[in-house]
Amino acid sequence: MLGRQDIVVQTHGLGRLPALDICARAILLHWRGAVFQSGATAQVYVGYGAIPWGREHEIFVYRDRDALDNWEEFEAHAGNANTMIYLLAYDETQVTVVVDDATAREMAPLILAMQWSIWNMSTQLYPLEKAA
Amino acid sequence: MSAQNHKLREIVRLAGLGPSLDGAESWHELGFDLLDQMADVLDRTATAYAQLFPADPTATPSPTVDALEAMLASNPHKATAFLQALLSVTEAQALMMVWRILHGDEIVSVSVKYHESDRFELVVDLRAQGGGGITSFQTHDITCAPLLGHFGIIIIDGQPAFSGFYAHRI
Repeated sequence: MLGRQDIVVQTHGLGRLPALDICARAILLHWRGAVFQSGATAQVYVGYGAIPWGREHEIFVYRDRDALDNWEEFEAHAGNANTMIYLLAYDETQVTVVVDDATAREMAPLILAMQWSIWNMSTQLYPLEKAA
Repeated sequence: MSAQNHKLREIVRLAGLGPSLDGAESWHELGFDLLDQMADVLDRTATAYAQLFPADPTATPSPTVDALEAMLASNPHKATAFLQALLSVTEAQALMMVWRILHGDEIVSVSVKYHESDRFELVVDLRAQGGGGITSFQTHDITCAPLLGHFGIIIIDGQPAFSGFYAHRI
């Protein structure tokens, strides 16, 4: 990313997996054709439903297939700014959302929506770390 | 206890929901076995699912014990959410709806109608992931109403959205 910005999103006790899941769902509402790629293996998942969240700690989410192809061919450049979001979560307390420019019109509402949704659901949802 | 029921019980416990089974232990004296009910409902749901989606283009598996075991390994938060629904809901239509959301379907519309001492109706329309077709799920069983509380809520681009299905705190 050219102008990488890391936004740390607290999970408010919700846990890593539900928080990542919520972020992915939010991105899908924003980018209907979003494409998910494993940060560990570079495997491209066929839709949200194919992602094994329990085994993933890093996910690249591209705006669409064209954005993925562009990133794979040219890597980061000015022309593909804000067409990919990098999600990282290595502990239960936070998800890091990496974008080119968090204040960009394309990104700011989405990041706010993720933060609000996680906070809102944390008031009622089950914290996964309590599972056996 | 059958091998499948034994496996289902282990999945419920690994998902952190063992106390819910324990809480229903005393019902055995009244002739009710919660685990048997869950297994029966899951079987009915899997059968209905296979009929409704005979050739599912999204390759979403039927909601079987084996599929739940696989989900627990890859997406434990989703398995917990589905099992919470299975613990309290006996309607195959409602459980198919939950299963589809967990596998990526988008919630297009929700309609709830209730009139005292008369009727309850819940209708949820889902769009298959990737912009696929719409499937409508309907139930008149009021015990399905709490499922709505599992829906994720997002306000994005100024628009309200139900998105995803999540487990409640225990």
